[in-house]
Amino acid sequence: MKETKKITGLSPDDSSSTSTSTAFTTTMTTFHSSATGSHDFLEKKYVKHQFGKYEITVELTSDDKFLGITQVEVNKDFRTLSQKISRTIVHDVEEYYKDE
Amino acid sequence: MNDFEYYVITPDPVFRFGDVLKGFVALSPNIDEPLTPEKNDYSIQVSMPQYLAIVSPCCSIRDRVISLAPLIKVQNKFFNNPYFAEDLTRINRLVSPENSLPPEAWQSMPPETKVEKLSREKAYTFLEIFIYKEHEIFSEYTIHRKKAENITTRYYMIDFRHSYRVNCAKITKPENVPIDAKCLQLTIDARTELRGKIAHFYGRVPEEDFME
Repeated sequence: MKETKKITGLSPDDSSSTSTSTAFTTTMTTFHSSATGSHDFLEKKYVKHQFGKYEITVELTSDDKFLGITQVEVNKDFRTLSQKISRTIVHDVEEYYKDE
Repeated sequence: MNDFEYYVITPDPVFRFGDVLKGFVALSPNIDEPLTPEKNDYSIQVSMPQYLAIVSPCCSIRDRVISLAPLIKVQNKFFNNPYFAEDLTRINRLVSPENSLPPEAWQSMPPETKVEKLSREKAYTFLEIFIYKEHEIFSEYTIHRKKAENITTRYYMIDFRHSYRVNCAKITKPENVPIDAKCLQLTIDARTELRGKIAHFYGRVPEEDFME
């Protein structure tokens, strides 16, 4: 398991007592491991669902148990269903070809 | 040009989708209008094409039934487009809007129509047609052209609209067939092209069938 902590302090050049120090923020990541040999191997999958104008990414187990929602974003594909289906699969060219 | 082989060198001892066969009759019933008790005239045209192509999916070649389409001569209008004349099998693939037309048709097109066509993706032309590449077993014939030189060719084609069923007692499953009737087998690439085009032929959805 991974744990992330934020540490706020002084910049490295604050060795001079009269210099202006700048607060900084850094992120320290520590890893906590469980007892030796124990790891979380839960298989997950991510499925996108359309919900109105939003696209929701849902986290599921491999046997489709709901774990949670990981992302919600606006669906940028503005095409209607008929527009998605009616992509051109044939050039209408018969009128340009005449048997001689 | 897609430069892959069209026919395998050593065909498998089974019938496959796209295989070229010989020895099967072709049947075409003809009517002027749907029959009624009062008007029930019809005729049946029976022919013996030299070669036919299997249009049954492989797994469906069984139970004494097979679907075939006769190999027929290509149409002279295909040669109006140099892009196709160079290799008629390009008709089997997706082509750009510009390559789909004879050059003079493209050049005389209004600019706004050109722009609209150029915005489209690659697509099929002559969706009902699949070209069989030249092979030595195919008889040579001459394409007569009024405004250009005649062309001698061994290209043949099938028209998906000409597909029909044959009952054959010796066809029980794909590997239990009259294998001597098999003449040519498409390579995987060529068979994939045939499968793709025939799937699109049957898979078109008319506007009125869209569900919102």
